[in-house]
Amino acid sequence: MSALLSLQNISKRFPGVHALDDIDMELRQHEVLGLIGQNGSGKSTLMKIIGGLHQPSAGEMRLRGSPVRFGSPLEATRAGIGLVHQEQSLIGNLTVAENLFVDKPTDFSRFGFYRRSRMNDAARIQLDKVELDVAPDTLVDQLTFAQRQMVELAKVLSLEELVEGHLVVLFDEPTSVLTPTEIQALFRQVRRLKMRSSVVFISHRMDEVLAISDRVYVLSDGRNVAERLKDETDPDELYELMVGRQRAGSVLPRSNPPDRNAPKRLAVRDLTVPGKVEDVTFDVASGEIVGLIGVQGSGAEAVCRAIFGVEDSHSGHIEYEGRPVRVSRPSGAVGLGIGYVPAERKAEATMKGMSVCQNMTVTFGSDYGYGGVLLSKRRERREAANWVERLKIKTPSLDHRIDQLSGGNQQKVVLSKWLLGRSLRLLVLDHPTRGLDPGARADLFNAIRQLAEDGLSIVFVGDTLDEMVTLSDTILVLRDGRLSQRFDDVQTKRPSEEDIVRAMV
Amino acid sequence: MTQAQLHAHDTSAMASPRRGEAGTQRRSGHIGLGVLKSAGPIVSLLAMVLVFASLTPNFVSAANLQAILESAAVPAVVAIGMTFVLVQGSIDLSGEGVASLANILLSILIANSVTAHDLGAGAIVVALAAGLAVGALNGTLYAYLRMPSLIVTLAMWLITLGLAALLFPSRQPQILDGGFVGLALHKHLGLSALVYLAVALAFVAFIVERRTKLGRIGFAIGADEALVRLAGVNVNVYKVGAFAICGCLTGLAGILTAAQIGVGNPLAGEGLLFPGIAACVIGGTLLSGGRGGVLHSLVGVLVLVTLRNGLVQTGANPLLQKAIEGVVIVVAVAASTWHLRRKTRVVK
Amino acid sequence: MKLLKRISAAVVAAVAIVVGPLAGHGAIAQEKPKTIYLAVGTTSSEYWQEVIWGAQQVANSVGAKLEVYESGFDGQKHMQQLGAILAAGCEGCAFAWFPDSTAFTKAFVERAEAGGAFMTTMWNRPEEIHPWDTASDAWIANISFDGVDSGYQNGMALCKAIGGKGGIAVLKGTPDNPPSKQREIGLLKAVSECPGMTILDTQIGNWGQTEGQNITRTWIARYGDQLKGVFAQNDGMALGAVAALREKGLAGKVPVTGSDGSSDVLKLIKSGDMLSSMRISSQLHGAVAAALAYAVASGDLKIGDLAQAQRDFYLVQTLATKDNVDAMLSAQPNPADFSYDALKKNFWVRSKGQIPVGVN
Repeated sequence: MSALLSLQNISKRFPGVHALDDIDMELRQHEVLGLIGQNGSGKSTLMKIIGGLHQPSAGEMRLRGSPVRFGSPLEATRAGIGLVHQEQSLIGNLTVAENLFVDKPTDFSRFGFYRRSRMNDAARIQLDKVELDVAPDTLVDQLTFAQRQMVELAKVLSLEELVEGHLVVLFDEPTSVLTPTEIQALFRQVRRLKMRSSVVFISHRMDEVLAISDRVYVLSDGRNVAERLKDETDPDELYELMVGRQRAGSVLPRSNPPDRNAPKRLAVRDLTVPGKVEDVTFDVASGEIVGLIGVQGSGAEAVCRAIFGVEDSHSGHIEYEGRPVRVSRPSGAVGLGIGYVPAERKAEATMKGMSVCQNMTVTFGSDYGYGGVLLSKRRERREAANWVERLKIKTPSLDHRIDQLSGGNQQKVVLSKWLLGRSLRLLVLDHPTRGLDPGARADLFNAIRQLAEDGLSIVFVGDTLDEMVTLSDTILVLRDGRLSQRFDDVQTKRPSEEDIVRAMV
Repeated sequence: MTQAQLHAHDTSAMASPRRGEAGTQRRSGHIGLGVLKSAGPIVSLLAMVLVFASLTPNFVSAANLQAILESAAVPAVVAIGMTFVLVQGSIDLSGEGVASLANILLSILIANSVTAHDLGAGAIVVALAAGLAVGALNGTLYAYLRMPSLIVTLAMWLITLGLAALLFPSRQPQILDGGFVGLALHKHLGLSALVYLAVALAFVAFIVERRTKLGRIGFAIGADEALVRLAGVNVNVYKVGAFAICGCLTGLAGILTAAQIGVGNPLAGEGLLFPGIAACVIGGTLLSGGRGGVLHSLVGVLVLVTLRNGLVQTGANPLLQKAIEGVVIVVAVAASTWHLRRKTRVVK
Repeated sequence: MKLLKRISAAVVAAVAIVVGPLAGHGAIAQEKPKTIYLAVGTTSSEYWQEVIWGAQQVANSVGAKLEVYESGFDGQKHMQQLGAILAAGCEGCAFAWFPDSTAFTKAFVERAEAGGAFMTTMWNRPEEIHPWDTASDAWIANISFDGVDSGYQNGMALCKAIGGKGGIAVLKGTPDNPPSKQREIGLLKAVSECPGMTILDTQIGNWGQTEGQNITRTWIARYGDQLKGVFAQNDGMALGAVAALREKGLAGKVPVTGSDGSSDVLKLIKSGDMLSSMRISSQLHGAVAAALAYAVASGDLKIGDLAQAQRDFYLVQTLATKDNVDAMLSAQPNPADFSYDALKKNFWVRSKGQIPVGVN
């Protein structure tokens, strides 16, 4: 097999960061190439260089044997390179069909007027490829996060009809927000794509990478550290290559189980969010970790959002520390000592363009000031530096802009924003490990476990069964907006993953 | 059981809830009909009509409704043009100058009492072209030189007002072209050609907004310009297009004013800007861009015009009218943006 | 050190170049001013164009330059312009100034006094200050037109046109400004002498055509046949009213009055679409304001010699009606009538007397 795309000595420098250092890579025809590495190891930067979003500082890229240099994503697209973004790139107030074709030359308009039916028919074909059942004239704003991820994929797949010859398709962590069925649909597409294209696939989930790839590259600190054929390696070896330590036992067991007779911190009775959640009832004790799980649309996220007061309307009864409360907005929840880490951190939790330190101290910085009025920069920074250390946040300095960090590190900053709060007694986490590599995930879990042992109550929505059973004291399974099953004392009586899946579907 | 094994549980049962969900989205997903996203502005308008009608039955008479529509025609033309700029998240302040310039250009080039020119319909073409050119220049300076639209158009406001003053032949030119003045005088079904023209323009603008790349990309620019650029779209072309449309329509408004009064006036545009922008905002077109549209702005125009008409009809104290207008504008804007309230999940 | 010396020498030279001629200019100006400074509300109106024309004739006749400052009715802008002129050194300069509102009048004349210049003002004088009690060494005179008379004569014409009976509607300029107030006082006087005429409604039209048109449209819908006449406080709003009436075929049937006597309105009076308008002598306004300022600045007149009636007065005005409109339209102003020498014979020959108390 000849090389379709080859990179030689590619380097990329950003101010203060040497993101890529002398990378060599070769992508062959009809091949799926896995790319793994920790947060900040340079995977996304490499994808962006191939996709035309960044230009390399040094090195050469050859496509079909001839050197290329892309000045913009459009040039890469025309050369047959499609990128499925990690952070989504869809335009919310355009329709699905318009988004699919916005970056491509099409014949859907005549004299500037759209021929909508023709465009929608073409879009239908692309959506069928990813088995996404939404109307092409739906506004992207109205789709769920996972549905939008499938639209991103469809957008790249539509290159098939537009470009002659072999395609290069890049997937930057496409599975992190998908449900198992959706991942299966994605894998079917990737296998089908191999017929006429080559694929680069990034994921944090080692087993996924091994399931889909023919060959794997491991990146660490902006360098290639290893290349392995699929059949010659296993997850444990890859993990070791990536982080340089053993996988097992990375999450500490709970030293003292929560007191089941401890006073209830939160009591939720008959919580109903119109169209999303119906009659959900549960308690959270102090120091308890409650995990919520369900398939996409089960309502687990809505439960979290209602507790924090960001759902548009909900009914039911919520008691907090024995008193009935009516939380109607986030500031009220914060006042009660409830924190929330949203899933869509790009849009909801980070202040783009501001520094790591500013992001961390925005909510509780005043706790470290004088009398709650005057701020103390010095004490704020000390506390922020403390959390940067504890959560192993990879940033050149406290003053680095948050949007220049990798996704996992951004998530850690968001988490530490709440951990700074001294009055915090309940923390709600919506998909906290999304976008985190295994090493970072273990760090995060240990931190969360430690916080729970110190008496903080935690409610979280998880992505994987593994993280549910590793972290939770109690698991609540939701199905179609209702509580379908609960598992108590998870740390002492581990439920089987099959039991949980059965309750989910 | 590993994650991969879990994935292997390819159960059709898991897919079913999602199908149902997507089905509901399919029903609500159509935008082709151009339904107003929020009923707020319409409700404000109807509420106002009800209040005025109950205070004075004469308010809903055919004659008064005609009066309202006649008064709405020119502001509607301005607001339609402004909408294209506002949905992109930009603003055009040059309207009063552009309308004044077009007005005076027209009235000295058409048959008039001061100058010897008589270009007939050619005068209209020249005046419209002037509006278009100023608009395109606004857009070019803004998009290609990356100057804030607020500043560019503020400067252009002064420039065009100055040009209008220079062109003013020191005597107010009376327009003698009977056919042109007839636009405002000859009635069909009780309404002048200006009203029909405004309605036709609104229809065309609506089609442009919903069915052309210019309109659709305009919305996208307002929502997230960076993403649109990333998609390889030549954003600047659409920006210039929007400003050109706005300039041309504002020029048209100046021309229509000349038809209504029958006299050229180098200050004819005065008082067009604020109602134009206010109407868009009242209708639900956000200054930050990405939301609203031509229909929204038209409802906004009707709210403003109906309000002024109703206050006179009901004999409200003239000194209080400004204050009442202000209160109603605040209430109407609150109503039109009510559906956005608490939507923290605005994902861009 | 050497460099520093060179620089300071250059600065001194530059200052001398800039200041020298100005200082000289000031010295000459005390004898014969070379420039007359005229402030106007806008250049985009016939009235102000005629004011400029009148002042220009005066300037031409004495060989001076006329400099026109436009503000768009923004008092701050005139303030900056005046400040810039005075800052360059303008002792003994002649200013014919338009205070954009009464709020600015005092500031303008006091500035002129501080700068050692002379100033006449047009239109706007607050009730409580006069040229003889405020900045009296600089403020020569305030020249205006009798708004009460305008309101009264137009009102009486309207009364006659509707046969002494019926409802009229009033388009007011702005809520509080002397011409607006005066014209309203005059109208009320006419109403009291014409008891059959009643005011149906008063609305604020901000002096504008479009607003006048929209309001009149609404009146037509509201009052129908009851609306017998429209009293507009200026020609702009009257034009709008006529346009609204024309839409309903009522132009000429419902009489409309205005004030200013601009040429387009005179044509409407001639065609019968409009009843009357108070024609003010705008060329004379500009000419007298400029001539008085020049006279004092050049030493032909001494401020101290002037009586109060010569320092705060109205100029003549004529009600334009169908009877006299032809003569007005055909009359061409003769530049010779507006020369400085012609006016100097008696600056007040066309004065209509001192402005009474209580109208500003």
